[in-house]
Amino acid sequence: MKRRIFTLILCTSIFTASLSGCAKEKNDNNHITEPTANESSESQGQAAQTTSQKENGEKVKIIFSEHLADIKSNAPQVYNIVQAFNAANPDIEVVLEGQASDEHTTQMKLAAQTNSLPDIFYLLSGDAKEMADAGYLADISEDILNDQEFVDSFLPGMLESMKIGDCLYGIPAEMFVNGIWYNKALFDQNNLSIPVTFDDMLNCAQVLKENGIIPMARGTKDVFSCWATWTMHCRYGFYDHIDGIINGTDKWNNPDYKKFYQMIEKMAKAEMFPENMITMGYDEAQQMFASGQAAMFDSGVWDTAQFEQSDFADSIGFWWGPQFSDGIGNQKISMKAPSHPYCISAKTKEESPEKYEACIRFLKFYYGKEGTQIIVDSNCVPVTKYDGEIDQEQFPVYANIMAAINDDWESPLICPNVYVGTFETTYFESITGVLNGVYTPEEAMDFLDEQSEIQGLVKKQ
Amino acid sequence: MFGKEGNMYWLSKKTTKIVMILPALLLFTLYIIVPIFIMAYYSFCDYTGIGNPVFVGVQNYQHLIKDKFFFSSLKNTIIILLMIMLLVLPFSFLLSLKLNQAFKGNGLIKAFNFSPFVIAPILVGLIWYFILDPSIGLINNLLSLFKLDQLKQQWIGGKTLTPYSVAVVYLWQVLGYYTTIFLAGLKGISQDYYEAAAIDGASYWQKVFYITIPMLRETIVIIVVLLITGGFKIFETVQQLTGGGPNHLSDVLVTYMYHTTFTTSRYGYGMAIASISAVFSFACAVIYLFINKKSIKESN
Repeated sequence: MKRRIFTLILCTSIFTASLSGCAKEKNDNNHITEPTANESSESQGQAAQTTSQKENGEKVKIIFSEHLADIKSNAPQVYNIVQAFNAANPDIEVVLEGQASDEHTTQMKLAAQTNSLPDIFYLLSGDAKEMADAGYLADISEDILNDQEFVDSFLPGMLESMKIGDCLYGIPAEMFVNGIWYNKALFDQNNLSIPVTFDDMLNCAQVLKENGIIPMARGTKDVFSCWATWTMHCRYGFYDHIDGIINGTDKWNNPDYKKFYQMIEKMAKAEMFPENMITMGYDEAQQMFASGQAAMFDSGVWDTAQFEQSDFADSIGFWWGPQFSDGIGNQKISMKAPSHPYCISAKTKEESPEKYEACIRFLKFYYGKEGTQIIVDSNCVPVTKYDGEIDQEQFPVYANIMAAINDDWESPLICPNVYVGTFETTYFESITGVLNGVYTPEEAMDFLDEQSEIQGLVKKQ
Repeated sequence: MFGKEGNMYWLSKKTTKIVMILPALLLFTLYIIVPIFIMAYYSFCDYTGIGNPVFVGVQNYQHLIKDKFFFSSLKNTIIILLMIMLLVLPFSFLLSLKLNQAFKGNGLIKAFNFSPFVIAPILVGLIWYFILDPSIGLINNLLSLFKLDQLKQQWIGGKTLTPYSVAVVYLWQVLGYYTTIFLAGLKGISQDYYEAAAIDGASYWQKVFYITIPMLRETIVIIVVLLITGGFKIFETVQQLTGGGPNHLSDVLVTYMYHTTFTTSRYGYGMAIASISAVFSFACAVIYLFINKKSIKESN
């Protein structure tokens, strides 16, 4: 009998141990708000449950989930704002969580399915719209749009991207300021001027290549890293056709877009990019430019802080990309559009009014004067108005990009990738396919037409 | 006290067996069987991971038939599978024959040989990225150093060689593991057979072909099944080396499924790829076991 009991205990122990072994481990480093380090290893679902409890007396705890694994390094403005908010609001504790972008997107979808979304979280715009339709996101219009002073502090158009009807479901995390970084010293050494037109750019590329300099750093292993090309697409009438494509009355394979893809093909054939572009990702391309091996880099405002640390920060400039003699419409098009949003969980609003109120207070701090100042101090670009001055000598890269943002070039209200929502990866693949020499321009456009039907981008009449 | 027919009688009772099996069975059902059914259900749905899945019948499978990336992923998977059969099976067997003999440094070689298997696959991919990359990789740079530029190849990232390179990386990664399984099999063969064969004047290779290989039949079956299923599961190496690029040309079924499901949020389509992949893997293993069983019967 004793042995049977022993066996039973053994079996139960093994079973319990197996189950606990199945629990997902989470890297403590991903939670970076110091006061709650012990709780940081909890899973998202558990964390969401924990937040429903008030701890330390009256303290309300909210979970803020970001799409970066190392928030302190990669989004210092977010980290600094959370620290400042926690210090200024002893009754609220914002717990910052972070994980890599792909993992974050998947986690948010899984969390939505299990009704355990964090209180505030970053979402891709396409997913945000679907989640709003499915009722997972809180409508924050009453608390945000009714505060006119707060609304007026935003740059024009920034709050429009996450409006569905009259309801507001999120606030852009940052601005998409996409373009081409250049190393002026390398241009000067080769007696070249910063290009203005596409032909200028090809000529510069030719000279730079002959002198052993990679004209433009790019890594197509990360298909999303083709930001400047979206602006170029706008100069080939992206917005003249896209609504027709979505409505089923137009095609990706049209004469205007064909010119755009032919231009991409010309860049590839001119060998403007690194030999190992196909096996390189965005990070390697960034390092290639930051180490002075490449004269240009297709990227955006988010690299400002990184480049400010560079030995040749003084010589780094920002350019909106080439204008085209055969382009469609206005060629002085920039990209100063809202990025993907921060949203609040509908569950938080419905079930925990005190937490929802804390979330709103946090958002108002984030986008208020204090938050905006912290964003600027972190060399990032706020989506709100900023009247202060930037020290050109101390922060030359940041000053250059702010000068570009404040120029009079027109910008679309929404970035092309945000406009096509969840179809964006396929759009990126069409561009990198031509860059990699896998597609001809016609094949890239046919690929998009085929995928638009299959993936449901084309709305059935 | 413990039963009428001896102390261990209780262990052979049906109830005890059920109690012993139940925890594993529950876990297996929960984490393997149930997800397979969920996967199969989602493969008939249009689902973005948000909201409710919409049943669309066989639409995802119809798209699959027209999807050239699916077929290139399948082709790459088959190339890798054939390559690892041709490489891993003979190399691990020959190495185990050598390591089964006593010689100085035997233990050290076994340890070194096994060590790649304990490295995380994502790190294996990273290590080999710096070896195979056409521009910064060790191989092409060594070829340049020795003035053999004509031999330089696009080992990864091109349109042809990536699956072959992945198979070589996989060989490096798992050689020690399969050698260890073969070694365990070799230890189980009685020395009497070899002694009898030696008396009859059999050469070394005759002993290998007429004693070792037939006696290792069960081990070989297990290894082939493991290689088939393992070949269908290669993910991290491809993801790290090329990310499936350029434009899916080096994708295998699992990386393409991952891309479709998690990057483009087409869960239903991704699950259709996963279902086909599971069916292929299962079918290959079953066909092999069936052929093997038949040949054993015939030889008996």
